[in-house]
Amino acid sequence: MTKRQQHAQDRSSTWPSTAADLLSLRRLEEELGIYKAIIASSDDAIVSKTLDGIITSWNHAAENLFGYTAQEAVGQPITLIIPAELHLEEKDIIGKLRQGMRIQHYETVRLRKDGTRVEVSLSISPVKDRAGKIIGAAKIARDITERKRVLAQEQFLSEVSRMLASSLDYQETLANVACLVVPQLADWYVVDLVDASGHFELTELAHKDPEQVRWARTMRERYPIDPNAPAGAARVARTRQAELYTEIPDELLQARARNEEELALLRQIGYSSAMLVPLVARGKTVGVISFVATESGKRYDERDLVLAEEVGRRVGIALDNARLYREVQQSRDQLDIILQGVADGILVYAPDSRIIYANEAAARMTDSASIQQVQATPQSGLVSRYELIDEQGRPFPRSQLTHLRVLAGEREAQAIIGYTKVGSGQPESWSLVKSCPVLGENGKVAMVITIVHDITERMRVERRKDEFISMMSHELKTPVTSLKGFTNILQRRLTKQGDAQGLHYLSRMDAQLDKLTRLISELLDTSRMQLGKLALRTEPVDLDGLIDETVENVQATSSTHRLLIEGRTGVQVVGDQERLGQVFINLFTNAIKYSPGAEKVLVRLLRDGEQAIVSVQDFGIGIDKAYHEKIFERFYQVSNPEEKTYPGLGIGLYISHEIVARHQGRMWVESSKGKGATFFVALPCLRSNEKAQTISREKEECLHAEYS
Amino acid sequence: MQSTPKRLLVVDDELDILEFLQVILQEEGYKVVTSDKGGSIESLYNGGLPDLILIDVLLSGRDGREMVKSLKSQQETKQIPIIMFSAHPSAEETVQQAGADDFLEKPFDIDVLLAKITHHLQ
Repeated sequence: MTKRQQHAQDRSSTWPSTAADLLSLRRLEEELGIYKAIIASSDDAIVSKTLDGIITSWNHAAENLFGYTAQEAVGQPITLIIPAELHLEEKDIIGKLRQGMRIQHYETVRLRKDGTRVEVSLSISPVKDRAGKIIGAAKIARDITERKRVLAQEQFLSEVSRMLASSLDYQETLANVACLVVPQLADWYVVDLVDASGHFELTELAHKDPEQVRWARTMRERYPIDPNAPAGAARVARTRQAELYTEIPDELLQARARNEEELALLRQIGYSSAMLVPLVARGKTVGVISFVATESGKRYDERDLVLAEEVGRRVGIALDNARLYREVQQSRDQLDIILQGVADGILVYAPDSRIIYANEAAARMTDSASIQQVQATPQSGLVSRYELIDEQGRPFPRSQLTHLRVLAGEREAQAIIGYTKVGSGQPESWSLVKSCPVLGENGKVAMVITIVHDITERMRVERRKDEFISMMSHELKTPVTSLKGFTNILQRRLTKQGDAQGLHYLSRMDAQLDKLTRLISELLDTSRMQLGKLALRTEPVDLDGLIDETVENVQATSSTHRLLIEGRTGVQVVGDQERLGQVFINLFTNAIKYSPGAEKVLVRLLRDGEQAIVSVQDFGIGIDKAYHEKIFERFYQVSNPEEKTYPGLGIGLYISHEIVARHQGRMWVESSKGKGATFFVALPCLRSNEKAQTISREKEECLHAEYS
Repeated sequence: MQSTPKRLLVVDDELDILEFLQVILQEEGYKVVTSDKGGSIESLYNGGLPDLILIDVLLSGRDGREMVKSLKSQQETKQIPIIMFSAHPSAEETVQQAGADDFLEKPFDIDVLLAKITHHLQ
């Protein structure tokens, strides 16, 4: 009797014997049929066994899963499908079952008929007889190989992604991934990057044995990838199609080897299986990853290839990010090197006037030990170390610092600032400071770039020049004084002698001496203005009266032109009568000088709101529009020799312009070539309730120094 | 021509200037003593004092303003009118501070100088 027959007999002993029993028997049989159908069609292997571990049923799915037919399995001990090392586990399970416990989703490994292993999830319930006695177990086994594999792949990919995100250095990235791939996915992991010309560069080669890695590198040096090869990495790079070699027969090696030596080396590798996937970034092939199985004996299939391709995609994106980052970093570094090398100080301010960038020159200029220190020091702290002055030596208001002006809305701001460290007693340094805004997308100032150009040397040279001019004009006055003195003596003698001719010559000499004196004075004035030493009185000046007086004086020297006054301002201005007189003398004499053929000069006076305007019109050679601004610059002359317009030292108009500016006024010209010129002077009117002190007197701070 | 010639002291380190001033001022009837050094007033006048002094602001080795300060601080000399001159127009303010009675910018007009002398001797 087979065990199976025995089992059937055991069951028959419980058969029903009454009509009622028969009724329930039919119902039971119906139910049994349903259960059997369910069991037969289940995808899960369903196996029952006795408490002694003898298999009593074996469904179709069990046949599929384990490879044994029901006939082969029923009656056999369950250890048929349990690997030897897990026999103890089975005992444990039986023990639990005896106590009536259920076992849910227990993951373990079972043996197939062909000797391979299968991962399964088991759910085992005790089987009881009518009396409730446990007589066996029903086991549901589910093949979880695929599920495990998917889980492992998912975990692997998430590990890869984590690695890729951990670094922006591409070599580090590739090495990190290598640690994952070997040995989990492959025995060898090789990354070849392709450059624009199609040249391959071996970038990463990993194997668990460093000795092997060295050997493989040498081999690759000897046999680099041929970019034109019809198959392998070269083709993958060209076509962006992955290659899968589930098996690598010797014929394949023979086909690929370029010579006997290479074939020998290829054989030495001991290929089992391989996958080659493209590294693609933004539609471009950047390289090829090779996954090679050797000693592990792995055989890659389509599913492995899907995983490998996914790794390739992710590495490709990571490499591209790393490259972009590197490029941005490189261009930033390059820019920084350039900016650091610039001799000008460069400071970049945030909208809250914090310094967000400073170059070395800026650090040097601000006596900061380092760029970091500049950035760490609040701007207020940086500036408060210095006393700031303007060109005329007056305190420079901090609110006028160029970056603050730009933050307040100016398009571009520029200033010449002298600075000395507070309490250092050192001569000041000078800078030409320029700021301009960088606008954000919203049109607001995102940052302010300030360039500090050191002009200390230029300012010192300028200053020396002005001091020299000052000294020279002073020196020139002494001989002129003597000349005038002796001219006077001669005039006295010739008067006594009645020498009219001689007296005439002497008066010409004296007039030229006066001219010379004026030129020297003008020269002195320019240098004093530049050095900030020109003192202006601030008294109420009757402008109409001043014009009358000046016109009268100039008229006395001209027999060719008539100076005509039109209109009245009817106001007083605040200022230095003598200096303002100097301005008008200059304008009147120029008007005469540059209109040789004309007969008149028109002087118009008018009041325009809060300002008094004096215009002086001549009918002479005129001034080309190109020079309308420049003629007011110091030492500027219309230098075109063809022009022959305004000769002289080119300082009269500069001085006049400066004097007017220091009276808070404006001076300009309207003219075109050949059509005469009209010079305008606009001065603010003195309001009746205003005191004469509105314009503060400029201090002659350096006077003593001049004489020392 | 005055009946009793007024005595003028002229101090300047420029000899040419001293020379032409001496000629012109003598022609105008003044008794003129010139010096290119300054030094003590008494030694120049043998105990007598000048009626008016002309001093250049910048003297070699000495500041004319210091001389003026010293003259204006002494009882016997503080009444003497002093006119200073300088090639530097901005010296006017410090000259006034030193106590001088008048200032002339070099080069000066002789007629203006003579007018100022007459004015201060009145």
